Amino acid sequence: MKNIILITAAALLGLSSCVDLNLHPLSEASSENWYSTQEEIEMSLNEMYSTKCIPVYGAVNPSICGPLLGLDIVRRQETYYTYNGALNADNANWYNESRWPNLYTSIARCLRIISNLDKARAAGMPENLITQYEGEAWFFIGLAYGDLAFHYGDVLLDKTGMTLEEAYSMPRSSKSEVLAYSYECFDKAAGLLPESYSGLQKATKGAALAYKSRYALYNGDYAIAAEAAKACMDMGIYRLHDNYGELFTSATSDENIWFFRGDVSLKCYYWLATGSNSMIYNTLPRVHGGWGVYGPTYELFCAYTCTDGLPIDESPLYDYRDPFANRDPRMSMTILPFATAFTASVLDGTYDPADYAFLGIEHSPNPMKTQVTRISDGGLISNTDSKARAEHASYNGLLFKKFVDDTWKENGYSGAATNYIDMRYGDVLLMYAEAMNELGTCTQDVLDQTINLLRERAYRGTGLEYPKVIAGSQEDLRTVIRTERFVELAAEGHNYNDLLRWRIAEKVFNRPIYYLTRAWSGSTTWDGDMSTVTNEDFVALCKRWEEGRFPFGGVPEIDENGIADLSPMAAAGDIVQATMRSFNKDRDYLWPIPSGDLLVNGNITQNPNY
Amino acid sequence: MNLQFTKACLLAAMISLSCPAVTVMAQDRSGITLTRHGITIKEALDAIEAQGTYTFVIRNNDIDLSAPVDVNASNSDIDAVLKQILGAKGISYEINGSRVSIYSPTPSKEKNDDRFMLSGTVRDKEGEPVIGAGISVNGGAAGTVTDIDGVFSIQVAVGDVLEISSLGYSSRTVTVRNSKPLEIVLDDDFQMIEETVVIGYGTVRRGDVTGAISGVRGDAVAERASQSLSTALQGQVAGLQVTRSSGEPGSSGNIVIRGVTTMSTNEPLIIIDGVAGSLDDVNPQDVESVSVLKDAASAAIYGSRAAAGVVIVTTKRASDNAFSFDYNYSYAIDTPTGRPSLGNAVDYFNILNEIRWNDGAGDEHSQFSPDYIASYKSNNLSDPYHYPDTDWMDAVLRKTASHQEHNLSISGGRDNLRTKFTFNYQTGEGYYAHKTFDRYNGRLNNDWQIAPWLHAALNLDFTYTDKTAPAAGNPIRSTYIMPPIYTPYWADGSYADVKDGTNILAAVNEAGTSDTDLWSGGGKAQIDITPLEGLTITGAVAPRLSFTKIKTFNKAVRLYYEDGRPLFHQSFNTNSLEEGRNDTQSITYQFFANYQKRWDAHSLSAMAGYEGYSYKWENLGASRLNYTLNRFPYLNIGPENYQYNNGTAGHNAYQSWFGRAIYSYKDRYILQANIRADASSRFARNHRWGYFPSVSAGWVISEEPWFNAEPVSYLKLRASVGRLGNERIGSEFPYQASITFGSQYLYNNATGAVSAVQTAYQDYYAFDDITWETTTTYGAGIDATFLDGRLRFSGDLYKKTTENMLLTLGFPSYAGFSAPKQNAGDMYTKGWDIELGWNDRIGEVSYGISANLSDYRSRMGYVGDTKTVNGNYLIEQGSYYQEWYMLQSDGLFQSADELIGADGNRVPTYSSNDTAGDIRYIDQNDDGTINGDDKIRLGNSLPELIYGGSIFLGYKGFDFNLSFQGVGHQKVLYQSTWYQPLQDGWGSVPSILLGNYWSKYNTDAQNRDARYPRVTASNIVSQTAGSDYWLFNGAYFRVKSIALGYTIPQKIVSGTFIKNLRVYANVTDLPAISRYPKGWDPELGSYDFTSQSYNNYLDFFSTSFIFGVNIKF
Repeated sequence: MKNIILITAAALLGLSSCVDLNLHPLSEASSENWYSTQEEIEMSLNEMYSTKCIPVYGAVNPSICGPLLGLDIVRRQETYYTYNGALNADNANWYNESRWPNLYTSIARCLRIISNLDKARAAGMPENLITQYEGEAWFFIGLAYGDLAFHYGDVLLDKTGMTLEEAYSMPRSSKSEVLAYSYECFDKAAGLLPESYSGLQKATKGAALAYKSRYALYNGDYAIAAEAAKACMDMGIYRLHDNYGELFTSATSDENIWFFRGDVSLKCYYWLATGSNSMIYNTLPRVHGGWGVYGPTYELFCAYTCTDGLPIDESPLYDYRDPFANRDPRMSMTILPFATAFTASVLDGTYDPADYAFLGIEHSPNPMKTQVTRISDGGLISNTDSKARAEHASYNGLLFKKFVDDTWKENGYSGAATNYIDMRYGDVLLMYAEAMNELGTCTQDVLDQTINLLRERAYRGTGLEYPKVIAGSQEDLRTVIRTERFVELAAEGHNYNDLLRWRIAEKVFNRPIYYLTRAWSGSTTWDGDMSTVTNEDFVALCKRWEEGRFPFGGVPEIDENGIADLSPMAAAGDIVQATMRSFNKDRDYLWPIPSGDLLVNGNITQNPNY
Repeated sequence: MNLQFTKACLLAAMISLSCPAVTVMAQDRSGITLTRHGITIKEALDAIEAQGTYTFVIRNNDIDLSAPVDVNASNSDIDAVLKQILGAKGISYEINGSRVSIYSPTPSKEKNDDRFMLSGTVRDKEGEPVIGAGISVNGGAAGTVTDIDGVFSIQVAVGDVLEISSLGYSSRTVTVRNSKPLEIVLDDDFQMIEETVVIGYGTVRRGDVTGAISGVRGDAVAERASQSLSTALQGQVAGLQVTRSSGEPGSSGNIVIRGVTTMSTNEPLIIIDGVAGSLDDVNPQDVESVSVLKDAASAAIYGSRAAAGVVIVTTKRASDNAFSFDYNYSYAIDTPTGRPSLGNAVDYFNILNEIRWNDGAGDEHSQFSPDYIASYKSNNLSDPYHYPDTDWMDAVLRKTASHQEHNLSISGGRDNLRTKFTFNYQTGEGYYAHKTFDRYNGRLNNDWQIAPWLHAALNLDFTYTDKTAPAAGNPIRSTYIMPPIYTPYWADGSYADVKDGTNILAAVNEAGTSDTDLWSGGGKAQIDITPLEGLTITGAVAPRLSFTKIKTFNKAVRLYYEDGRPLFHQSFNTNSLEEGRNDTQSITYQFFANYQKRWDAHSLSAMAGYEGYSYKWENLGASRLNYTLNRFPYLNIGPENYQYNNGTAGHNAYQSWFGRAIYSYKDRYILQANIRADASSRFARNHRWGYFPSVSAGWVISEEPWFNAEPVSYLKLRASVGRLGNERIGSEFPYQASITFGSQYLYNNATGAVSAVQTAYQDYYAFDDITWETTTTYGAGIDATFLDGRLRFSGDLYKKTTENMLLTLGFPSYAGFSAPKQNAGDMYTKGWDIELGWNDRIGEVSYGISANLSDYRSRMGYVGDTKTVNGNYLIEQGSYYQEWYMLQSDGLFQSADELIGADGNRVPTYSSNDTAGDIRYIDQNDDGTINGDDKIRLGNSLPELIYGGSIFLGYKGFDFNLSFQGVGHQKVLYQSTWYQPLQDGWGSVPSILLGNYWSKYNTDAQNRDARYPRVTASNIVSQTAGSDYWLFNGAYFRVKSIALGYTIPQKIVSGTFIKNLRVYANVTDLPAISRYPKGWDPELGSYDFTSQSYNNYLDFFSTSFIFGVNIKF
């Protein structure tokens, strides 16, 4: 028995050493010894190149950014937090895609990288790389603070990497102080970053200057905005793409300063297709398998000037019965054009479906046109972009053309590689013009270097002389510049911010969304025989088409910001009020600080009226 | 009568009953040495038996054992010796191994003329059959023993006296009066009770228990006819709360013991045959017993992982020398306990018009004209494809489903080897296509008594589960929100486009399947050495492996417009394959010694040991997209330019030392002490060890000589204090600031394409001094029985204090890191459990009622001076754990006038769109706005007064059992999805909304009674802001199971190869009685803190109608 006890005692000792408790993560690294090699710092910086750290507005991820759509895009009758009065601090992180924490995460990570660069230097990393990496880090910090200051006003300013104790008690710093630091970071970045890269495209000197200009302009620092924009222009490496329409479907361009490019085989998309929020389905016309849900607004439709450079309420060239005729060529490159009953070629019988083809199929919202032509073989297919065949055909009769190309239909509609361009040279030119005008120094020279270049590009190849902008009063130029921004940058995600900073959101976002009456033929196989139609609203819609009142008759008044007032058209019964927008001028210009942060830090105050 | 002899008879009789075809096996027959003259036959047999090799079974009562014989044997063969003893008297015998049956060769008919076969049933006071009770006639040797159902039959004559005896019970005598079957109840013999309770690394005598331990018998588990063990425990034990989150076939439940005590996992530690495991690994039919260790004193031996309590499951093992073969089959028809209903197309049109009108549309029929709506119904009858009115739930979901189960059990053993094998097969289907569940579970438990001092045991178990689900996932939400105005098919039978290509019926039927195969297996090899009497040294190794294989093949689904143009389903427009392989491996090492000694009135039991555990997991995934073909779900067939893969791994480990001592004096005063020291790899080296002591004491007052308080038959007081730990906080390395790897995509100027680049970032902030959270529990309890044990009562009061709680405190979202857990909080939980039982019989009807009730409140202590708001819940000092924290409402604005205050200004509203028909919120701080600052604490969100119980009735061959379970009170938030029309902007209209919402079309009186606010799309955020407007009492009562069984009388089955035949019918999970809206089950509507979401759209729970048969061979 003694032996048994001995054996068991030995076994006991043996067992106690079978389990090793000194374990380390298997598929993660530890921060203790991170940031010490070139690879580690580069990997840390790579994480910044996402839409979290370079926040995009527009329609990239409509489930979240939908609320940030401006007056240029409409999704049927839907309204969003930002213009239906429902902004509140509890949902603050939802409606703006966690903008607040994401930008602070960006700041914290970059500060940590900067503070560890000495470690990398000691480890022998080449100085030119250290310079670039530091520049990248300052770029992201500058961008984060610029965006925070614009949307939240006074924000917490952390320049060194706050400790947790500091975090629980840090107050908000004034907006001007935050902006000053943002500009300082952009300046450092511009001084350190290269002008271009031969390999992977990362933040450049030009991007630092352009974003500095954007946030300075957004925040009313016009001198800083003008100076930065000019510095970017003077680099001489950016130029406008030859063709306005092709810019948005090209893989690359000298006009792009910062853009996100997707890749189908990497499943990386900036034009997403996820379920009912699919940008692809929602934008593509129905004859191409889409739903035509996102569309241009009537306000955008009206904003394009006529070829004489005058707004539609002033130009004699405008005929509501043929609204695409004699308009700024950018209109037909942005909004899918169609012939009306009064289009010249229809009247004289020379109408050719190929003239109105998009992606190989004729486009017409004509409520009596049951079929459209497939250009390749002349075959006829059901016209589901018209109320003749589809109840849910575009609610206001308009569809987008900008950005959309055949690649949107490939890959099972699950995503397109199409660029999301967040900063382009055309924007820099407009920012320079606007800043100079606000400073009262917008000379003809400035106009010729900016807006007139954009207009020349817009009309290039049309055989038409572009309507040159001539220097005039600050007010007149302001109208021209704001109109130019609205149409040149349509659907690029900048309009909401422009409406905020121009302080006109309270005006335009307290107007209804209009659309056509919901009436349709009632059958997806309707043969066009009006005698079988019983729905009076649809009969009326067809009649309006025949009278050239599609989408509406008459000429709306265009205000000093280039924005149309469509209420007379609704009063006339051509269009109907779909839903109301709502914007609280005493509250909604600033976003609320997420309420959770007010609970943990009593030194933070909320923005007014939240 | 010689007790050992009785036992021998009993055992032999059981063998002869259970295994009549056993062949005589030649065994190593030891020689018999016995030389006596003039002794009785009985004395001679006793003497041989005492030599240890042979036992005797007397098969006839008419053998005269008192006849004198002479024996003269020296190391003689048994056969020769028995010839001397029995042969001379003309008594026959048969030697089967070590067992000898003795019988009179020709039972003379004449002699038994007045005899008849009398049957009877022996039960204990709880109505449970007493197995193996010996029945002897007129003081002779046992004539027979009861079978597994307590049934016996024996030849008797009127006037014979039967003695019924069984270990642990007082013997009874019954005089035979007539041939009516006997119903005999044996009283527990407290003097003899040596019943043991499994307590972890050993057992304790029931009488020595000083902690709060509840037991559940295996047959109470099996009776539930649940597909999983966790759900079979629902309502069985006071203080054990089981919540289910899904009714999908084979799904299991979450268990919480004595309430919530921590903000990390509250799942108790599950110990299966001594090793940590999962209840899902055990087939409910295999359960011998379940012990629930509820207080610290009981659970402390499991230290670090026992803060949330311990559930110990012991599986059945073969009993001595009893052979049996059981087969059980059941078939069940399932129907949902609830299914919401939706309004029809006309309801949809009207609501949609009203929503748009409310939201600013120019006229009240902006969407659908009155004519269109008025004629829709008749149009639908004549032209259903242009005027569809589809009930999508009916179109996609079946009204009933079914499941069935086969269970096979083979068990048997000899002295030195016992083995039991069980095999269980379950199969079931869900309420929609391609939803199936199959599970094969086997368990083999072996015991070897190699030498008197050496015992070995080997357990093996395996489970193979095969689950199939449509690749489209659970369609319940999709069918619920799909408006009726779309047709699923066209006239030619092709799938319709529905809304922009979201035909859920087509997706469920055609979009492929997701198959999950789970293999799980484990075992335990254990050696027990008994070097000294009372000392047992145990060593065990228990490995466990699991392997999961997931294959999801999404197939492109073609839909068609009415004119025949095809389109793809919006979510299933290409073929793609995803494969996943996950494996886990764990191993537990145990080494412990138990020592037990009794002397005089003292009893001591001590245990000390070591346990080590390590766990490793690895996940692998691969996929390819855009397959051309949809018939070959293998990676190689997919295009190489669309291939993706991923893999991760992790591990953790702990080791522990522990010890226990139990001392009892005169079985009256009992003292127990435990200590456990644990070290976990989850914490930094210097913060790794935790020490968890406990002490408890018991006083059996009824054992005191002075105690004489009829009707109290047993009374024990218990008290305990102890500390437990928790290290299960999700993250494996919370003390390390780990760097997470990822990918980003950058344009590459060199290639003109996009490159994926590696990224790295620190996501979570890390506190390097993070360590155990500890829970200190104070408890006191009473166990009592009254009225000769017919009434049982057990009650416990407890208080738990959790310190250094690992929780995510309100963490600044601008800090740059995700919030980590930290040792930062205290929580206080107070509660009580009561269990009551009554058993008795009236004539031939035996019956029993048992009930349990428990309640607790968890309040937060110090939580770092912070206030953490988690959606509609709050955690701050003094609040309940996850207390409701929302706005206070004051009904609906009944008119636009009510929005103007006395001062002529607009009253504060949540949203500037608020108008008549919206909810009026109270501006608590009078600052003129309604916002987060106006939220107030609105009470406990957790269930209160959790109860369960059962009723048993037995009459002759019939048995009836009803069990129920429920929650007495709970503040539940009314879910917007239950009533909200047009979810996602285009969804359906729930029926419960209709006629019950504020509307411009209503009279003022109707509006005052309206339950729901006006319909809107743009002001949803205001209406669904968390507020007490939506709180209601979510109490419910549910009949868990009604079981009726009938055991076919012996006289019918005797003579066949069947030994026992029982048929039964059960109804399980009847629809609950509650205030939940029609169609929603209280358990499905519950909030799941683990996933931080409501369970609204998970698979329905089922009311099952089960028919089964149980056959013993």
